[in-house]
Amino acid sequence: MFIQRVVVENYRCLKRANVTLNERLNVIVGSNECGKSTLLEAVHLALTGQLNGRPLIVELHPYLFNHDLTRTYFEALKVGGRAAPPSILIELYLADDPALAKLKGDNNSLRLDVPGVSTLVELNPSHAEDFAQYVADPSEIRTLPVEYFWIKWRDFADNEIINVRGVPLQTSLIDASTIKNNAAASRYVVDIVKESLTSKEKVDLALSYRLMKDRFLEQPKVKTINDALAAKKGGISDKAISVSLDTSSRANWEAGIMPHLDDIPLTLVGKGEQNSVKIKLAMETSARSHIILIEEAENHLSYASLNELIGHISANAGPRQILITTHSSFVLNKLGVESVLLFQRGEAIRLTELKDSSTQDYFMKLPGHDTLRLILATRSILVEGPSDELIVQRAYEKKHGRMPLENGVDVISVNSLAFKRFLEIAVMLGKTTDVVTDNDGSVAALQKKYADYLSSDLVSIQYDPDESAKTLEPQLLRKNGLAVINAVLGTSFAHEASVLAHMASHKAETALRFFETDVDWSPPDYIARAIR
Amino acid sequence: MPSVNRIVISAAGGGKTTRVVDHALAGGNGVTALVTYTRNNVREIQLKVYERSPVIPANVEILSWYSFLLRELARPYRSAMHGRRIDGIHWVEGKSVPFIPEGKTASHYFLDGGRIYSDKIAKFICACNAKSGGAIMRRLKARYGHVIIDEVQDMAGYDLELLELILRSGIAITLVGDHRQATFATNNSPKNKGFAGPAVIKKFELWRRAGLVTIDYECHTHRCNQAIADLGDGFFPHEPKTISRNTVSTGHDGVFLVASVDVREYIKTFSPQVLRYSARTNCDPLDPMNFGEAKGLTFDRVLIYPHGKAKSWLASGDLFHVEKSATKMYVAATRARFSVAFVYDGKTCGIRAARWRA
Repeated sequence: MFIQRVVVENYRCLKRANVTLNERLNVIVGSNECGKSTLLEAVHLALTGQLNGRPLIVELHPYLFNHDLTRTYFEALKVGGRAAPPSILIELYLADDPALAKLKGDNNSLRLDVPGVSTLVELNPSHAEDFAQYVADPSEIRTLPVEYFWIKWRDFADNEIINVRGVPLQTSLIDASTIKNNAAASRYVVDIVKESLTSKEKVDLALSYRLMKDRFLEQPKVKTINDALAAKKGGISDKAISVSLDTSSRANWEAGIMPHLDDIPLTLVGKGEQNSVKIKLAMETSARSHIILIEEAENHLSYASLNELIGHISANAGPRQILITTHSSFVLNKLGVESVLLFQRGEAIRLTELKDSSTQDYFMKLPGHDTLRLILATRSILVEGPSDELIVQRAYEKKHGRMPLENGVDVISVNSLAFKRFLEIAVMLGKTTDVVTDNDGSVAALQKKYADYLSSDLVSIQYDPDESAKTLEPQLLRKNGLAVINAVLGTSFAHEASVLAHMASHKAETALRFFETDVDWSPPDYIARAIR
Repeated sequence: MPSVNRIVISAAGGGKTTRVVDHALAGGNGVTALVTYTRNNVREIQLKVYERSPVIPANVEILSWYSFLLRELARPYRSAMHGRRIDGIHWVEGKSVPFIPEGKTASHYFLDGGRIYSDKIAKFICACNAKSGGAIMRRLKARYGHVIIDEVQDMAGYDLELLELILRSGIAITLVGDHRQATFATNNSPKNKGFAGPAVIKKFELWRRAGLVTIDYECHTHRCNQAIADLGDGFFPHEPKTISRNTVSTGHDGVFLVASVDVREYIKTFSPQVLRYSARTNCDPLDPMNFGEAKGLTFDRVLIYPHGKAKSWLASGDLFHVEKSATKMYVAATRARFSVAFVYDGKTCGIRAARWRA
């Protein structure tokens, strides 16, 4: 059993998402704020009806609705327009399986005849009048009145799901960031163990826990105390007073039991270790229906622990579906580039979906690290080789006071043949990308090569139109003059021709000097444009 | 190849519920649906299950006919017919909106577009299945390994069309009931009017001849003694005879006539359950129960207040008089283990009965 597709509308930052998932491993990458974690949260919500460990109805707040949508709605009201009140929809389309026939039907936004579940938060029609009153004066409204909304948790057969047992898929969400207070922390810790127990084990625990309460009363010392208390009858109250353990809470071993790690309560163990234990326990459970959601596995873990954990995940994943979000190219490499979903603007792209299959092969074969720099960066500058890379890096640092990567800008050195392949991905991902290139003496040839991208909004081809300055070195010389170049290089050439010859034969050294020098120098204009 | 589908006609007191439950608990492939008509029937069956098993097993689902229709058949593919969710069922006694043609789907089938009329839900399902290319039956087949439908004699109108559709779907179906107890109809649709009441057996026969089902008769009764079983059989002379397995003797066994002046004394002596045809039947004692309500129940003794036609039948023994009320008479007569008494002052008696005097 696995989730084939997730459709989300207006949930938090996801205005509209339609993501097709892999049957087993899904490594979801994307820039910060792209909604990876929100996607995981939405999946967990639709499977369990719970948010932050509590029923959605308790956790419902105005900011669960997409901010843009809510604002657009209010603005439409303000100018006297009519618009449908915002609603949230999360749909999980499951792979067809006879065991899931109960959830099957075509009551979903894509009208697909598959099993599935959906969570809908919409205006409760019986509160329509209250709502109309509320929005009557749009200038006063700041937030949505969630108390007028209801939550409909249904399967694709259009029947209500009453509780989490109505969904035959189990799920574990591993996300330390949801722990906001003490109660949540201990619940999270108990859940770590609870989700991996069989129902028989859970019953045994509940029974033993109750028995223990009964035995408490039989202890001679407790009995003596209770006898003494009983003797006070009449003095304080007409009824007998005694002490006992609280047996009123229903089957509540969860409240009284704490998992331990090497005899240390799990709440007192580091968060990284907690998560790692939770992930491993989830992996141990044999249910094939178990879906594991891992939010940023690399959080709170040292490199060595992460290495060990990721090794464990890839070795024990088995037939289960796993969704894991990450910022770590290490995690990516370790789990395999073929499982990667590039998540961006509500869509997930697989490398296998690239149009040109030679591009696809190229990226599948590249070491994951290089490929994914493009994905993880906010913006990329593609350069032709190590010299250009050093010059661009330093020029950026000189201008912004920080290295480009610290601002999410990655300078990637690309073999000139691969430029177009990188650009294809960049366009697909909607990544702003600059290409910094030599004109090699023919602007016409260069324009021909990048014809597809010359008018692109996303891709800028940066080059100098002066065909006499074919490469980086003459460009640097032209911009800075002989004196500055001599100062940077620590040389004393008398003529431009001789310094150019030196630079051409010592390219790497030249670039390194520019990178390290304290002397003030300026990048050529086409590089300046790229580091804007 | 003989059909895997069965219709089991079970005589009154034959332990039908017990057999249905045992059948469901026996398991088999996949999930078994046990569908019965009313919520009371659902409760009765649940209690029967608890006599045998501490919980209702996960592979057995007990549901009422209308829940089954709504949740498993009408909702999953309603989009083929109707644009919005079917929130529930609107109960109608007679015919819902008789002058709105079926072309106007939303108002023909639905009250306010969201509640489907109880007399049209089966029709809706049949049309929706056709329109969705058989998706409803495909889903049903994946959903259940075995569907047992109880009280099948009460099915009327499009319910019969739907049953036929299910019989043709390839799921193993067991239909259980007794057409002699067809005192009730799930709806009053003009569709299949010729198969209403006990005539539903003719529909079963058509299905049998089409190779859709086999029909088995369960002719034993654990409840009634032989005299009472014979009295019941008397209303349906062409059906197989019922054999009693109740041989207990109490000293007052069989069929009796009681004069109205003796009723108080009779009630004092035997404490029978008083039954009447309907609220309009004249009877003075406390706590009478209508024939229809008594369906499915067992008493040691009953005292029946006959309606006018039944009095004519008592006088002459001619079934012509009770032709229209045969099912209700059958139900009333077969409630008791030991004795059935009619309140009757007539001089002649055309049935096999002894007069009781105070």
